[in-house]
Amino acid sequence: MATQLVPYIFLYGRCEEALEFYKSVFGGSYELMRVADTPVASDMPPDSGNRVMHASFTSDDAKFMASDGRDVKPVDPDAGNISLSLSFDDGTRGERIFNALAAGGKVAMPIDTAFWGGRFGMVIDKFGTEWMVVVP
Amino acid sequence: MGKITPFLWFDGKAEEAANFYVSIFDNAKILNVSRYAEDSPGPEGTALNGGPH
Repeated sequence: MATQLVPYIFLYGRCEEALEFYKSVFGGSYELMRVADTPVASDMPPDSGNRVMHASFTSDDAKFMASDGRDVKPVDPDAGNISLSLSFDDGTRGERIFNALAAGGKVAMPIDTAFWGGRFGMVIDKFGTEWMVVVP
Repeated sequence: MGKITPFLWFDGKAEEAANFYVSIFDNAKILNVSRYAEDSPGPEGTALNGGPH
């Protein structure tokens, strides 16, 4: 089974600064995608082009994903800024677990085709944990 | 290689949450539960470390 769980950190406008900081701490490297470089740029606020839509950080000691954030989950310092990204090789398994997590919780984004490939959905379970589910 | 393991906080519902996740994920089990003692800083009987793997 190659399902992978990594933290997804929302940094609300400080993503690139934070990535540089984590790079100075852990070494490693990161790749990032700016809003302006995505097919959905025209759906975003005009001043958000430079914001980081998605970044992936890899090092020997830490691996995680990050973003400047989005509208689905507004800034809430009390709720924290870390979600869990769960990537499945097995789509059937991923959908089953997505639906099970949604019981008593809230589907923030139903699983649907993602412009970056594969399918993607978000669910906030009944305990408040946000899961970002990636399936083929 | 190091690995980040998320540590989730549940404000008194950790055990309920862990049991929920065990019911969802395959081959999941709670490895151990450590509870706050009567005279510790946390509320008695709360907190948990473990969960789905």
